[in-house]
Amino acid sequence: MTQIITVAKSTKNVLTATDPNDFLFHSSYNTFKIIVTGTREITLLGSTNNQNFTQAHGLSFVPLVTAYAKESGYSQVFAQNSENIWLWGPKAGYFTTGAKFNYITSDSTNIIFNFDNSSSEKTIDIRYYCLESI
Amino acid sequence: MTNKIIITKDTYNALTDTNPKNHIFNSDYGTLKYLTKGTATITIEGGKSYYTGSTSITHDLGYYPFVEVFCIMYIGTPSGNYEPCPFVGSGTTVQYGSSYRITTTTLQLYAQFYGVSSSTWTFDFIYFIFKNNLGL
Repeated sequence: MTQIITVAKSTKNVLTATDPNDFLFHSSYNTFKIIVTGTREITLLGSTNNQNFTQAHGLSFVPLVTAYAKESGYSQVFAQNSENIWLWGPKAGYFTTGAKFNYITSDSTNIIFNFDNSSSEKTIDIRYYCLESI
Repeated sequence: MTNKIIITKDTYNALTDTNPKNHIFNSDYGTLKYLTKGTATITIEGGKSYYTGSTSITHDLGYYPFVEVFCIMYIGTPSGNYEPCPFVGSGTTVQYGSSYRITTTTLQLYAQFYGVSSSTWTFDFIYFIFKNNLGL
C-alpha cells in the first residue's frame, strides 16, 4: 500500500477527495520550492535600452527564475515584460516612468535582468526568485 | 542536529538525497503561500474611442505580495487560451496587451489596444495572490 501525506482544504474530505485543487498539500504532487531568493539594486542609465544586469545565483543547475521590480520614488511594483505604469486614462492610455523590465533569464552561473529606460537615470530594486531547475 | 522534513519523489531516498529537484517537499526551502485566487474582466469599447481599461483588486496585505496573473483577450465570443500577463500581441492593424502593477493594498490590472478599432475588446484575467512578501 502506498502511503501519502495530504492536507485538504476546509470542507473537503481528505480521505475521499481526488482533485489536486482540493488539497493544501499532497505528497503525490511536487511543490514549487524557492531555492534562492534575494534583492538587488541596480541603476538604469538614462535614455538607454537593452541594459543587462547579472546576479550570481550560486547554484549547480540552471534555475527557473522570476522577479519583480520597484522604481525608487514610486509606490508600485511591476513585473517582467512590463513598464512602470504610474497613470492611465481610458482615452489617454498608459503613462509610464520610462522604465521597462523586458525580461529575466538565467544560465548556469547568473540571473540576467534586462531593462529599457527612455527617461532619466533611475534606481530600481529587484526581488528575484530561483524556483528549481529548468 | 537540525531537524527537517523531506518528502522525496518515488525511487529517491529521503535520508540521503540532497537534490531539491528530487523532493516533493523539503523544509529547507520556502514555498508560495496562497492567499486568494480570482477573476476579473476589462472591457474596452473601441467604438467610443476608448482603448485602455483598468480594474483593481484589493488585498490589503500592507506589503507587496508575490502574484501571478494570466489573461485571455477576445472580441465577441470567448476564444483562445490564457497566457501569462503581462503580454503584448498583435493583429494586422492593431496591437494589444495587458499588464499589472502591485501596491501594498491592491493588484491593479490594465488592458490596452493600439490602433483603430470599433470593436468591443474583452480581457479576462485570472489572478493568484500569495502571502509571500516581496520585501521591496
